[in-house]
Amino acid sequence: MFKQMVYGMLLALTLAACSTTHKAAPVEDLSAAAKQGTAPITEAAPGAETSTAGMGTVTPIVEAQPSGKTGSSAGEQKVQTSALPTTGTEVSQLGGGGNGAGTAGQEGGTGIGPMGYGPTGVPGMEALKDPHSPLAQRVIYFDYNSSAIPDKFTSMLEAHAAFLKAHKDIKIVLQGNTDERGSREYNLALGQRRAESVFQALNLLGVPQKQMEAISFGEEKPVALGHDEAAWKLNRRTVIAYPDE
Amino acid sequence: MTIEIVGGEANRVPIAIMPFDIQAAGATLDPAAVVKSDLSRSGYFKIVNTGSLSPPPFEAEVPDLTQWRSLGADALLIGQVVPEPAGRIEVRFRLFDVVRQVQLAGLSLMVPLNGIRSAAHKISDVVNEKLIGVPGNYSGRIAYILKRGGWYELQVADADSQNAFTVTRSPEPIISPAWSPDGKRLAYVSFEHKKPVVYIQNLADGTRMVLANFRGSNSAPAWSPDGRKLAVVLSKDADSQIYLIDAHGGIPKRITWSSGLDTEPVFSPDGKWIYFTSDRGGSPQIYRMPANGGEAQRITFEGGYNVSPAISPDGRLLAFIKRQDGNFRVAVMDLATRQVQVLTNSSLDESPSFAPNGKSILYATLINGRGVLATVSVDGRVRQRLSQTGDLREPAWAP
Repeated sequence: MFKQMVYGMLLALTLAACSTTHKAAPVEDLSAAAKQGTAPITEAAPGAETSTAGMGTVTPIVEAQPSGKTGSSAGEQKVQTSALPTTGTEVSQLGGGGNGAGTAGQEGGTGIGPMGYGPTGVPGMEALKDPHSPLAQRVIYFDYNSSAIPDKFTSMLEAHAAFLKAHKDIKIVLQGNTDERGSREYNLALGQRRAESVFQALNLLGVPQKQMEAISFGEEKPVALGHDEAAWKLNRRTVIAYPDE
Repeated sequence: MTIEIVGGEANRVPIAIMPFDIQAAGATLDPAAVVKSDLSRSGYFKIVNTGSLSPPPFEAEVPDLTQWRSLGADALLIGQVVPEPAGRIEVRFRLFDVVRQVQLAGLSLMVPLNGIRSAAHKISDVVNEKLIGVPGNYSGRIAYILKRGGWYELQVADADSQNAFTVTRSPEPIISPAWSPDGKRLAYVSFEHKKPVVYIQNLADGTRMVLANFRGSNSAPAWSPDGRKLAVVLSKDADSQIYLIDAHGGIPKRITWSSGLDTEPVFSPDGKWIYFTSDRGGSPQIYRMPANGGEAQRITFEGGYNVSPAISPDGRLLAFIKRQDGNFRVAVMDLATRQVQVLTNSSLDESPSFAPNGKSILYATLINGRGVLATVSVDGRVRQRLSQTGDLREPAWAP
């Protein structure tokens, strides 16, 4: 809900910018959006007609299905930005004025197709929620400083590949993660490599590249909070995230 | 946030700081209290207790300083706050060498009524410069991330960590704040879209723009010294690689083409080089290349993990994080001699950043499982810890 809301607003911004530029090259879209983006996010035209056309590679592929329908309720949690008080003044609390993520939210547009059964022999959408399905396993764990996928995850990746090939409308995000040790930015790059590793493996199993995006959370999203190997080995992972996960 | 000095040097300069005359202006904050706090936490000064001694007359040419000499002070600071028209006040101060009986500095600062604290930090800077030989860092600002109650807050505070102000808060992580060279904008990485995206936020009005939101991850922003472009790390074409992008956005230009991952770019102050971290040689090490791309030279060799480069304002020192016996510590290299010195004895240091005077390095470390900010002098002799409730990380000293 939240990501759709903010994304929807950025999308609206981008499209608003597109309409004022004569070229439609994807990267230029971002440039224009960026310039446009000097306005507070709050004011990004929330009601703009949205579509994925022309967005090209600058869009996060999984989230590129906004419905264009806007609601009025803000998300429970939102990003807020504030103006810094001018130098020389002493302010100790959050300023009111410049706050705010938007007031309009995107509804729907989750990217998940209607529930149902897939082609013969391939699990339908409900398999994603079945704890006994191999699809219930979504996490690949890695050795220290490694992005090689251990053999034991082969059958699980095959199950996901078969499912994704049968449901070409579903787009996934591969989220790479690391343990807490070392530099945050270096870990972000290491997590990216772990995500790319699963991306390549699924691609070799026949999943089209455009159905997947590899991104990294670095060390920012640990599932285990300890400061020892028992925790670290659970955090060195790539998560296969289906829409709305 | 308060500051604890966890190490210091034996020879601190003893200074007597008399209460300023603030009655005429009706001020409620005595600049002397702020200066005392600044200087005492620096590790370079010892504040002499002046008991019931009254300050000498402010207007005297050079007052009789024998009483302060007998208390053991080498220097004396006196001052007054005077009302001025149009809601302004004048903060005046004089600094004396007690031993030689001469005035070292005498200045007047015009500030708004609420500007006493910032005026006092500037006085501390001057005192530091006159007595230690280098300008102080007391009037600077820092940015950092505070994790509190499930929120990530990008905050800006005075160098003494007072006046903390949240400029962005998000339920998803924020990392890698980077100040524009003019100190007016912050670039940072936010995960609010469930992936890393680079933003630039204008501090004056809180507005922001997306700088890089390409397929894959977008991270590690670093400003060029002229503020016109940034180096960023993108994974859109390959493993994480370094690109240059105009500060207004636009088409990124790829400048590294390695088989490894390249990240943590930072420009040298003269704009000629980009220092960065790469594992192209098998382990993460620091390299540098011409700022528009080109052949890279390896800079660090000792040890299997050297990351997070920061360059001193004079371009002579490289601060970085070095793994040593399983601990991650702040180290500094003299770029002329390539001599390396490890400056801390903690175990999980991160994100070194130079103070504007080049004499101190701000970094994050973990103490009892909680992130705290700390500074260490470039010679390793003075360390301070800044503390605040909540988890602090990713500090960056404003230029």
